[in-house]
Amino acid sequence: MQKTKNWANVLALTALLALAAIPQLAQAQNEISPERKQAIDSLALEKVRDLSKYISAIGDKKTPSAEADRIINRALELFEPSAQMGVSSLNRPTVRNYPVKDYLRRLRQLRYNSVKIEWYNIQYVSELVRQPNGIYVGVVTIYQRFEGTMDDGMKYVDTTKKDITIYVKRKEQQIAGRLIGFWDVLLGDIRVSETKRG
Amino acid sequence: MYHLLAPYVRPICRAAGLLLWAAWWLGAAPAAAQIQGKNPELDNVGDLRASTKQLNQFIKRFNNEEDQNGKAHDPKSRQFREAGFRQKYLQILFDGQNSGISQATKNEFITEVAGRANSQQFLDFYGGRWLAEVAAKVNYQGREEDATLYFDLEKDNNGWKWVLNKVYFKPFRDLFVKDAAPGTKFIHPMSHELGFFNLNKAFADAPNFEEYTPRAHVPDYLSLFVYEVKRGGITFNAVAGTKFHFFQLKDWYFEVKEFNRGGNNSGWLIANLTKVPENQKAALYKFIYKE
Repeated sequence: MQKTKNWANVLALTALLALAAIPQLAQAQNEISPERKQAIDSLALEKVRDLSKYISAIGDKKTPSAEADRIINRALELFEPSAQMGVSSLNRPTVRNYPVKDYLRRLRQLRYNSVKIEWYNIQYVSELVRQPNGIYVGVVTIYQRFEGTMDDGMKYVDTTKKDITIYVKRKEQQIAGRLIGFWDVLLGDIRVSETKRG
Repeated sequence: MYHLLAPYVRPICRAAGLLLWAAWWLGAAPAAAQIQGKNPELDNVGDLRASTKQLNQFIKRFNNEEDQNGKAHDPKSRQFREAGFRQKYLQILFDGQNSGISQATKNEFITEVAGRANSQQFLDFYGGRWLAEVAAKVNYQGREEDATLYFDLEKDNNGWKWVLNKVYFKPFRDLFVKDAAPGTKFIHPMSHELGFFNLNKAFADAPNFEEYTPRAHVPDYLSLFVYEVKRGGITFNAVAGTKFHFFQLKDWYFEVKEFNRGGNNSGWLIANLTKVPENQKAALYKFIYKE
């Protein structure tokens, strides 16, 4: 998992620097150009992929308990504090809400022998809309195939649509004595709905 | 010879064009699909690509502002909002299983909205005259009740937010049904001469207190709802569904709902379409608000 963490850090830093490197006009620092939007979309998708990896590890019985706790904390760092999961299924379309922390802990308690989470090769990123507090909000939609294998070999498989809120905020950081502005992305509420296919 | 065949050739060409377009739409694999490689099932996403995944995408497809892979058209490009392609986009944005919308109505709508390149009508996320209807489950007086919440998008501090504009909550409606027999519930017309000290009788008749208001009184259910939420009388339980009502296009109204089903006609689609003259839209709003 350490490798995953390092890899994630490198990617996040690269994306962060890439965003910071986009030429900025002083008067338009808080506007999001189409080019900048593309970079933000990539960073958001990267964070979503990180979350998938964390979820796979948390749900996997082979992950030691202390390591799973550490990964839950890493996963929570991707989110803004009040983020929650809204979950519905084909049998129960009413959306039930869970704090992200509770959702991840429940996942850990399922303790599949192995968990495989794969992305379908399709994703959609909405426009970013400015909120009254100046932070931009958007939604990334992805589809995932979940396969959990129990001790007795029984498999639970589903396809879910995940609508993931992203918050995009302008921040500044001191690097080598210079104040560098960049756009940071945090994940927010996630709606998880079981999806019919075929 | 051609002029004899022309009436037949044109519809055939149109149908063939539509088929070719549909095949391209469903079959064209995006470049990104080539890199997955591990599980071929994950590349089999024709239905997911065709699905209108967000309302945001519904608007973009409606306006022909993105290609079939969800990539935004450059606003300066020829493809952006191009009318011919847009007419085809619009055909797939209807719930194909709803026989209540006739093909003739769809065609009339598409012709009026996108038929002429210089007079097209577009949806505008920020343009007002559309609303979200949310079916919510709330707890009220120890029971789970349905509440229909209507939201408008409102500008605030250079940003945007959804605001609760109307509420339909049956327990409140039931409170205001005036059904007393004529001449049985009133404050008599000389009560002022008594300094209204006899009001105690009206207050003692609490279950029928609405009978003492003007005949034309219209309760403000939103204020009641806000009051009950603030004092803890109503608590949120869950959301059971969402749909959107669009009044933006001249002389048309349509409803958009999410269809979670297999196949290529899924996601956010037009579930209801009606031609409504502008001067009758106020009545339709009232109908939607159940007023």
